[in-house]
Amino acid sequence: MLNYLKYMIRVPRKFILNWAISGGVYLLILPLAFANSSVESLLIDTQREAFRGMSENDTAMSLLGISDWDNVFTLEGMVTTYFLVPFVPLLIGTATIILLNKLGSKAEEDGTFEFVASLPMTRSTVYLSQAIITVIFGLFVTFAWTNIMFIPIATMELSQTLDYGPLMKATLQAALAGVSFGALGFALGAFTGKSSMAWAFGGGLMAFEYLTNSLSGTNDFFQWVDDNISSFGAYGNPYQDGLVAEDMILVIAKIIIFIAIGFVGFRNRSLNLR
Amino acid sequence: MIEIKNLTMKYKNGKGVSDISISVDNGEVKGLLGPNGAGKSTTMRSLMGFLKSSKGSLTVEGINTIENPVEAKEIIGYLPGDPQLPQNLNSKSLFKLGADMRGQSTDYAMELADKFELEVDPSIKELSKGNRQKAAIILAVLHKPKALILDEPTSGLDPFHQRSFFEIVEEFSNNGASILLSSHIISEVEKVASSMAVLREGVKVYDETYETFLSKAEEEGKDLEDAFFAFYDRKETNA
Repeated sequence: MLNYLKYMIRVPRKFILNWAISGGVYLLILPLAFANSSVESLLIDTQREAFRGMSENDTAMSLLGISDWDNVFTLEGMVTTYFLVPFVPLLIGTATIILLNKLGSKAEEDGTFEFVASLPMTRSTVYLSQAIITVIFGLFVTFAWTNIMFIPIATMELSQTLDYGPLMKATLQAALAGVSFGALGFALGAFTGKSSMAWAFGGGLMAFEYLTNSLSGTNDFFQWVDDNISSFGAYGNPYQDGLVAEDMILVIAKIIIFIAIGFVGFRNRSLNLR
Repeated sequence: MIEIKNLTMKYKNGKGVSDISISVDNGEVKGLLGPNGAGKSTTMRSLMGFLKSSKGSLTVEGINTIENPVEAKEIIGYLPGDPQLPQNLNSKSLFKLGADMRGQSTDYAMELADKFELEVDPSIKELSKGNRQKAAIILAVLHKPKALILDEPTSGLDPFHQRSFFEIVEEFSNNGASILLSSHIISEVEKVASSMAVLREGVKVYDETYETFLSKAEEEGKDLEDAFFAFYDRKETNA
């Protein structure tokens, strides 16, 4: 299993590094915008006033995951309520589906999986290894992003700052939400051997939960989904409140259930080789 | 020994193979012949346990390849019909993976790379089709398997390296390995196979020693290829 895990990291290593580093570097813009009060005033305050009209549009605010217009223009607000949700789960879900397609269902379709299948491993070992990569990749990339972003926070005197511990808690919750979508995509790709199914189900669930989260106040059904089964709904505010066991259990349970579904299918089907 | 008994495997479109039985003794090289779509790759993939809806008994050295895939793959060397390898890795790292997975060293793989004049450092995407085929062949045999399942193995190889490949096959055969080698070219099978099975539309239509086939051809005053097609056509009509 260890050799196969190494293989799964080596084959897409550029992809993994690109996602981990480029996202983190891009996010440096957030703390650097709060470099000092004059930069903050130039970059942040002017934006807040320029787009203030948007704060009157509840739907646009919901779609962007913003509940408090003024709070989102603080470093804490930007990172924990606007960046970590909804964008991290959406990006991590997408990246995880792309990666696991490369190693799983897409690899079956393009034929590279035939080489892996001829190695002395059981289907269970192959699947379990892929499931481990699904979870580790999602967590690794998210933590890479927030840790790279934290470098100027830790080393420069910024006009506003964030605490590392609470930020990591928020990172974990956001990463697990993203992994839950990636896990469904991976599982359905493995269940069917078709990368299109990974996108249809993983991407489909992600879009559905994003919309129900954004529009939860408008509809009882959406509200129920958001309160009870949505990974976005389970985010809460871990930066302020810490990790809530109930929310963690929901997201972890979803990941385990999705992976178990894929396991059943992958063990009992023919490989989708060209 | 490779033993396929009453293999039936149908795809959703109804194609596949029906009730195929083929055995390959230790030291025997059996050619599996047939045109495109005859069921050669399906037979081989079923034997490797890739196609789960297969019915029948599939064993290699007495090990059921479906029930005990790990033990079976430890002693099988498999070359796919159109080998696709990860583009960004090089041959050396793939050989290392194949060897590590079986607790072997890469010494034999590197020896074969020398024999095939294969550069092991460039990534797979930098290799020509023929060199990729060489890398795939080495991956299939680097653990000195007791059974070889080779699906159109010489595809993309130049005549010089085809000869090197057939030398390797002969060496494995002399060491007692069972070898099932598919092709749609009889002249290729002729070089190494001691027996041949012919598939058509998923059904086995011929399974004899190569000498038997040859003597029949001589009796009818036909060259090898004509005899093959004549035989095949006749069976085709009967099928």
